[in-house]
Amino acid sequence: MNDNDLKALLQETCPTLPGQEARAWNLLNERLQKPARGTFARLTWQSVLAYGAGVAVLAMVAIQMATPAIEPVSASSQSPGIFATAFYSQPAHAQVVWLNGMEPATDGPTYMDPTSKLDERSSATKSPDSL
Amino acid sequence: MTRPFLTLLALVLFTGLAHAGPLIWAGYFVGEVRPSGPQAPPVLSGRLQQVFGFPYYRFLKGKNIDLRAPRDHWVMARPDFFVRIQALPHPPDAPDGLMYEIYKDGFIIARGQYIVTPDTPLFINGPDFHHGRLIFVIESR
Repeated sequence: MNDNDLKALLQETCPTLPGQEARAWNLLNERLQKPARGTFARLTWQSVLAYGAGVAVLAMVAIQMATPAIEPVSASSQSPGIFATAFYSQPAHAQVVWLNGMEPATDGPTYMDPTSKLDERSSATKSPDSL
Repeated sequence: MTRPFLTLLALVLFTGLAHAGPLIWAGYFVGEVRPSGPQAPPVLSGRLQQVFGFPYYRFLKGKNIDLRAPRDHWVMARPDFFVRIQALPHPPDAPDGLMYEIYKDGFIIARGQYIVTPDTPLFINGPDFHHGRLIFVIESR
């Protein structure tokens, strides 16, 4: 029995349905193109930890970059004639606020000092109908 | 492969959490050309000299301030020059900040904000005083 006889015998006993051969070829091609094992099947706990740490680092860097920078120091004048400047001194490693236009400080009493209160006797001797 | 990632993650986390605590020190020094009275520590004196140029810095007064206390803190140098400090509200993971107001002759003359950073103090140039100059210092404790 040669090949042609065998093929004819098979066609008689097991006839090929229409499209069956094409479907078989397609299934075979699909299996050949897929990897032998799934991607997730190869993951181990070490790789999951490593990927997780990488994602966390990237997320934190992204958050830090997205957060608006806070000025370490600021100064603004609240009085005419006073000039306020804030800067960082590299040689001193310090933030500096520089104020110009102030009068010298003194040891003398100010109007906030208790010794500069109005004499209460003057208010006691005030006439009742005075404002 | 895992160890470098974990080390990097730990570094980033540590960097994010390594900010100053809520305790600060605030005080006054007088920059002078001749030494008189107790002097500033050598390291601080050197830093002050880099900014203000005086050779000597006499300690005037100072105190520790806990920024967690929800109230104003007044630090008076002279009756006519003082500073008000108030802690700024902030999220728990953010660095501590404060608001300061500078008063001269009873009136506010300047205000601003300062983010408390370890090893980076704040120097405020005050008015002339006697033969020197008043300097206000805030640093992290």
